[in-house]
Amino acid sequence: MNFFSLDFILFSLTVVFLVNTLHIKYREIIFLVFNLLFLYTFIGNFPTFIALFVFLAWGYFFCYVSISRWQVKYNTFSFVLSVGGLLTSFLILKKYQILQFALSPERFPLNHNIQIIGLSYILFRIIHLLIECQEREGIKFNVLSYLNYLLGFHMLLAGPIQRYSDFHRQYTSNPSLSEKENWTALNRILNGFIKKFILAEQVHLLIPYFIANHGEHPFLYSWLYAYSYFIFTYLDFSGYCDIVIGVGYFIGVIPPENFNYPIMARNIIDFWNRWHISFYEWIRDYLFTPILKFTLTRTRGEYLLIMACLSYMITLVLSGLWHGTEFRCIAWGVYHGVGIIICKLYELFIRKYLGQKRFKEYLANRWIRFSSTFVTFQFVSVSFLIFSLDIDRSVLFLRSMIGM
Amino acid sequence: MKEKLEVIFRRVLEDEELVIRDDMTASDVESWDSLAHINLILQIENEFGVKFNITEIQGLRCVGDIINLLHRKGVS
Repeated sequence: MNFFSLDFILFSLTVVFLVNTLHIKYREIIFLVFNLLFLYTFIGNFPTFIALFVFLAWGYFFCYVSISRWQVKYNTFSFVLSVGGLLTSFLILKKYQILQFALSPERFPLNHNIQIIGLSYILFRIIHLLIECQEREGIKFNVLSYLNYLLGFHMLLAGPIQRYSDFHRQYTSNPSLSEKENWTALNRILNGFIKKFILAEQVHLLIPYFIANHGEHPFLYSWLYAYSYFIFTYLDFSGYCDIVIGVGYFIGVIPPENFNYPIMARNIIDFWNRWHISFYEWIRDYLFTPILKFTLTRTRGEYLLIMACLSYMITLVLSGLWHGTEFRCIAWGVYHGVGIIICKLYELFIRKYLGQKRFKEYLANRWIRFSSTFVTFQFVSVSFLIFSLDIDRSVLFLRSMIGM
Repeated sequence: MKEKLEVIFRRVLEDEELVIRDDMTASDVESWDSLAHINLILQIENEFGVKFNITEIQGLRCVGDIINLLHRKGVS
């Protein structure tokens, strides 16, 4: 089901109507039926459905045992088993390239388009929920809320990654929108449609032109390609988020905000606070912080800066791998990792050099702000170029960008 | 406990005149960034002999949150 289709609009309207007219006790069932229906339009074949079910059941089992009356507390073994099992089934479902040599298509006939549904987002939510169940007191869930949390139709395709407590609080209370909120929601949906289906489409038309005619003006077209790819991705993805947030208002489960004017970011760390926020917060909480804490504990708190750089790099390379296993994804991760490390070191240096008071003045300076935003925009655009092109073309374009 | 915390905050955030308040958050202190935050947590763990898990760390937004969590962990 395409987002820009009569099907999707009618589908959403039906859910909105039922959720807002029927008694709250039917909500869980309505959500489940419609979430599964939506999922079904993407996965037509039975083996895939079973594979996905096994994946979800694996997660449910480990969540359940930790909050059941047995209150099983994880040790390293069971944690590795639960997350390892999830990752393995995830990799099989996604048919990652590293697994292709082991899973020849003849032996493993999973003909699905499961890449389309946001399987990685489901994985992120399950891992989050597993840790919540282990560590948070009094967390409440059952099969219905588990499935509705993971498969919510408006967040199925590309997130955002909502936190379970946020989901559950809204899910168990009556949706009641003020008139103002109704308009906000409609406005978001309309905005989203304009961004995703009009503006992003227009920018997208430019992209092949810059590739095909690169030879004519190598310098100019390389940069324009990078800018247009960045702008396109922003409009497309944030437009999608606007739509799902708007729909979320009407069905009473509002997804978290995912973008905060990333084009205005003044450095690359600031960029990651504004771009794909729910993803960034997830990797910060479940990758960066644990990795840094672990390495620092091992070194008895010394070498903070070295360990931080190491953790930034590991985190960013892993998030590159999350996007795909091609070399360009790893290169993208390394590029961002290097950017963040340089940015952090520069910030520490300039703060030490200028002192607290002058550092504040430095940050408030309009020209500093303008130029750093400009540089960040260039840096991020280049990262989109690296991400979107194969390595040979990438090198060609990067060389053109510096006039080589 | 609060005095001990203040010593840690001053050392980690490199500000000898820092006076901590319960509602003080990272946005109130320029040098309290994500690295300093983890450093603070680590130093507090060592000082009070406690361990914070991933979920607890996520809930630490202000000084008051840290004090409450330490209380819950039996630090007086």
